[in-house]
Amino acid sequence: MKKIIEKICGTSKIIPDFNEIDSSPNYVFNPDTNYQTITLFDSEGNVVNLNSWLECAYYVRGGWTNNISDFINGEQILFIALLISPIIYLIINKKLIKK
Amino acid sequence: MNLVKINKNFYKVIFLIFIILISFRAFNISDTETLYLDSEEDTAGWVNFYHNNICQYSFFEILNSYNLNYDISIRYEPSGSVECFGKNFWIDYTPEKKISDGWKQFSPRKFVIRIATNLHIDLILQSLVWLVFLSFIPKNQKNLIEFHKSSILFGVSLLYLHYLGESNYYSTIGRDYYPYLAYRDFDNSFILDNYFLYTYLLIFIYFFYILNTILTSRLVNLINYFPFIFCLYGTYTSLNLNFFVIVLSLIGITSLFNKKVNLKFLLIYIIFFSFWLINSEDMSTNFDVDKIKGFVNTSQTNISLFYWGITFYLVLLGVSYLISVSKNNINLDLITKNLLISSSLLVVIGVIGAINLPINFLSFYILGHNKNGMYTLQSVEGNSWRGLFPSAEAAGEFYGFVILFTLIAFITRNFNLKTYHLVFLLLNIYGLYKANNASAIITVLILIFVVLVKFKIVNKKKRNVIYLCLFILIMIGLIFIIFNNSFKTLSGSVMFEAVKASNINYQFELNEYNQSAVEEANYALLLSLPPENTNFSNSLTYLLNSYTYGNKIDNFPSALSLISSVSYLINRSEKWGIFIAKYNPNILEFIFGYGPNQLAEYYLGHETNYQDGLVLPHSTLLTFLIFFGILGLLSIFFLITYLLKENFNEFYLNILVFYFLINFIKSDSGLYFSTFLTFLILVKFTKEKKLLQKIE
Repeated sequence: MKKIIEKICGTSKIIPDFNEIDSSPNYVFNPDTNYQTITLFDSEGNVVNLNSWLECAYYVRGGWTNNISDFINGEQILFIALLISPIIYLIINKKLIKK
Repeated sequence: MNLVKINKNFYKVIFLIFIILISFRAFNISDTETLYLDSEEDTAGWVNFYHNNICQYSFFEILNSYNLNYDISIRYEPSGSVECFGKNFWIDYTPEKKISDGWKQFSPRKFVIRIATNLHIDLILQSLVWLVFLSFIPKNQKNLIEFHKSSILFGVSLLYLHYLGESNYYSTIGRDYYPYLAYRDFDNSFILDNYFLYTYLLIFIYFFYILNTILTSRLVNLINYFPFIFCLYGTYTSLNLNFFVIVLSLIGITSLFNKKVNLKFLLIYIIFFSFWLINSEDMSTNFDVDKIKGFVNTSQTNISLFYWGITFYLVLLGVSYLISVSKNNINLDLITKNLLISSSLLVVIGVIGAINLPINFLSFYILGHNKNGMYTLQSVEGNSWRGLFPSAEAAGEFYGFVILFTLIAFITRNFNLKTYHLVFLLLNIYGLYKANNASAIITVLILIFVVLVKFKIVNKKKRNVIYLCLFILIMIGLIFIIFNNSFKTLSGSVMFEAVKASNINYQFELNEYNQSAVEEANYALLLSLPPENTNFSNSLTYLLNSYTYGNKIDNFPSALSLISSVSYLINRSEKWGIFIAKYNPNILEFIFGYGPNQLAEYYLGHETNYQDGLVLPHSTLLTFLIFFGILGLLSIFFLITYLLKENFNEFYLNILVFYFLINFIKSDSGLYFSTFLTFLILVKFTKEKKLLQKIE
């Protein structure tokens, strides 16, 4: 998780305590004027602009990302396609042999 | 029949080209306009556009989106996702900079376009290409070699070990998913949704199944096509694996199942293996293998050592088994032709790739080379032109080898040298000239002269006189060079470089010329300092003691001084000095080595001034000392000497083995799988009496 947070939000000296944020419903993220605003998306296409590193890290932890393609699980699709491909090959081969 | 076969192969090639172009989205129509990147502002806008739109545009679209004549290179970025394969990952831009000594001179602007690749797609696509190339080898229906059914399971398990052992490397490029669409760090265990791992294993199951099918009817012909391994190098872009290492491992597994194993060798190997495991410090590192990728461990874990130990043994076994089953099918004329074709293709593709960016980009991927081909026909920053090769030195050695092999075939076996063979030879000479490998050129010339004398002068006495004259001439030349330099400087050059490379942490008093004890080569003083200040490696401490206080015979140079002088003459003082500064084994590691393909501990275990960048020992013998220790190195040396002595009259192969041995002293080429395999095959050939009779 740390790796992906740093990839999207950049590096920071802050050690985030996500449990503390989770447990305080009225937690307010203070905007950081030195932080360049980052735009993230969720799987339903919602967009959010984030003004501090901690806020960005919290959203990334919650499944938000800066890249739409992250919502496609390429490895899963590839795995299923690979599993099915021999079956398709066998069916086509059988049909060709029958002909 | 032949026509049908050619047509079939032609369709296969067309299919491959189509698949590759589709994968890299060569047919995508660009929606961006072509920009003229004259000003810094336009350039910044262009670069930012691709930074903000990662994973959207293909390499071909990017190429059409700008118009500039600057230094542009393309790199693959293996950490791409499946969906991002072949699309833009990042663009590195270096603006022009003032050259330090120039008043108005600027270095050119540089662009590096990074294109995403992906571990799984590479595994599928590159394996497909190389398997199709393997299928071009003619079948031999009379000699079918059946692969054991368990070999697939064995092979896949071995590759799982590789994945586990080098997790640190794969975690830098791996990506998998959390069910709630968030990332999770890389995992190498069998948890429910670890599709990253499952896909990796599934691809290898299919891979081994297809490989078995292809090799069954072609195994006995495979050896005649080994020269193509130089052109089709077979290293996966995203994995630390080489296709041909896997192929030979599979053949090795088959040999094991068929009980074609030399028990004495196996026992010795197990003893060495035990010591490698005992000595190993289990550390999860990520050693940047750079241009030797696919044949060197990235990690220091026990599992990875276990994988490379087994794989190395299987490769040796595979080569041995391959030659023993193909004994009656070895065709030296065909090998000569294939060497000429492979080397010529390397030169031609290298030249075209230097001129044309897309061809450079695709040839690297399709042929599986360890480094991008050069983007220019000129030498860069003092390095010679290497074309597609990872190193100019290895390139020169290979072109020299092909010239030597062909001319020996022509002189000794009346190999029918046709016009197109001469064209291929000329291309090799061009490659050798561009690689600027002086030692390869000199060795080829001397060895061709030796062969000519052997075959053209029948009188043995006359022949021996000529050989003696040649030997005296070489000696006079060496003595002349040594006398032109100060022997004191030459004899201490390696020590001087080794001390310079060491990470010495001490405040020296400087002399009137501002020189410290290091520059003055005051080794007695350096040896008297506390070891924690000098940080000398074990090998450097031992050699410095021997150099400073060792027994000396008056007017007779010591072995160390002689080696040092030779190293200076062949421009290896600095590299061998760095090796001594780094090489810090304990006694068991010195005797048995760190294990095959293990450089991480040597490289990262002892801190020197050369921690960054891959600085190799520049000698295959020193590399083997790291791998197999002094005992292993001496065993290899005596084994080869024994084989050469046993077949002393079989001149042809001895000359070729000798060519490699001479070059191995000063080059790292034994670390490149293609050269290592060729050497192994030649050594194994010398054991085959029947083959030798056929040659002579």
